[in-house]
Amino acid sequence: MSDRLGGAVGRRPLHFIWLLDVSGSMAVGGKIQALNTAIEETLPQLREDARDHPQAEILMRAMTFATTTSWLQRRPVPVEQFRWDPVGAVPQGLTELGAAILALVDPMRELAEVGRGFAPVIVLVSDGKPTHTAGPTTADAIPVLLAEPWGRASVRMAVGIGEDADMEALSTFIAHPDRTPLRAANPSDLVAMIQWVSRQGSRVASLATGRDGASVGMPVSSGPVWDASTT
Amino acid sequence: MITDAYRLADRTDGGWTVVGASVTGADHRRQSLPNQDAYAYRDYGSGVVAVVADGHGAAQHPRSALGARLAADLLADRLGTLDSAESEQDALPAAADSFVRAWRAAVASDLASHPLDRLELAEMGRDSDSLDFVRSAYGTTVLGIRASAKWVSAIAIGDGELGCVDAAARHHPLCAAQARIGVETDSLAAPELSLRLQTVPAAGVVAVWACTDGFSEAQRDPEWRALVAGQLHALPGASGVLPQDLRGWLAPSAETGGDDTTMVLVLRRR
Repeated sequence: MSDRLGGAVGRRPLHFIWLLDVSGSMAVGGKIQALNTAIEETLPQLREDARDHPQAEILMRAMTFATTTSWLQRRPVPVEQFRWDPVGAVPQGLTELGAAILALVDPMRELAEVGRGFAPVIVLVSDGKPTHTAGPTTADAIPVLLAEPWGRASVRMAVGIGEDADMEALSTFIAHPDRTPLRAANPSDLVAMIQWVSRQGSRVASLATGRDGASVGMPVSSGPVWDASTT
Repeated sequence: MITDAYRLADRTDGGWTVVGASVTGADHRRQSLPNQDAYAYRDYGSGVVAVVADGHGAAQHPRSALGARLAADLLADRLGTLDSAESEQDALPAAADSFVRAWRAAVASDLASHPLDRLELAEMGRDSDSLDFVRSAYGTTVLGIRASAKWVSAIAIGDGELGCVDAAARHHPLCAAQARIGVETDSLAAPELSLRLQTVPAAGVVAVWACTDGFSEAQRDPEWRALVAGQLHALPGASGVLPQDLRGWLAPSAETGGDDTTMVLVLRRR
């Protein structure tokens, strides 16, 4: 008599990707420090969510983008082990969001090859208007990502920092009629909004919005600090 | 938590025996949610029928456990009474159509006697009296097997998996569908049904199985279907499989994967 049916079992992976703008303008007004703080303060909540919803194994990685893109982790890291090393802004760095979106295509193909798990969550944070000096525009890049089944299924969320954030570009990235980008006007906004979009994204992806997991209200801005004059 | 298991008696004709079991997922236990899977079985004289159903479970489908229960029972009834005047392949679409109409009628009847209350509508996120919307409260997948001396037929709406095992221990998918991502699935409650049907000769088939995605999604090994085929083939015969065996096999998936986990095995008596 066999003692099992099938092979080894495991939780369903939920891939969570931070897509972070580290362009030169992020050095202004303490935005990059606020971003680092916000992610640092979000991680404990995500770990708590992971404990509360053990059906999902949250695997996290982060990509920064300015003139070029860079993955901060070689492989996805379980959220329980994920540690945030603060990132810095790239002096004179541009905002090549289109190139960053294209860099997500290969990971989406890798997820398709594995073929199991919840839809991935991608959280974009940016403070400016995307450039496209070498790479494509956001509008040209997003269809390439959405052409991938796992890219199309991904839950994309976005937070704009300050008055200069291009909310239209962030909406193009989200590409979902029921989701809109948030605009953070100050560091406390940024913490609240990054926490909200990251938790909400994970919940949407795993449908973990059951009777004990009702989503909290969307945070609203508490007033302008990062206005045009500081960016 | 072990919730249910059953083995159809060995007296069935057609050379088949059914073993079924369902285990409540760890995440459902933690949230004090019921097991929202269901399964059913029938001995129709010249063969057997086995069905699994998986209620969608999310808050947007507050009556999905009942939807799954209705689906399992009604599909088992319809598959057990295929029109014997037609060939099995020809009769299957009509049985599927009859089943869908019966399920929708049962849902309508339940709604008439127990309209959605304010709490349920709040969970569903909006209020509407459109038939498609209220029916979605009962959203479920359903997978069915009918096995006779001559044929093995399968029907599927939504995720979960069906397969059969040949005499050489090879896996053959039944009603295979393009993989969906994450929590996406086709639904019996959808206005536009995506129905998959398949009939294969029974000769050479030693086992047929159907599972909800609580089992399939918990499997990490890409070759898990082949492993299942080999393990079922290696069984000493249908009489050697007890319900508690199947419950034990499902428990790791339900515990680790967290979702309700249900499987029916249709095994050739050897």
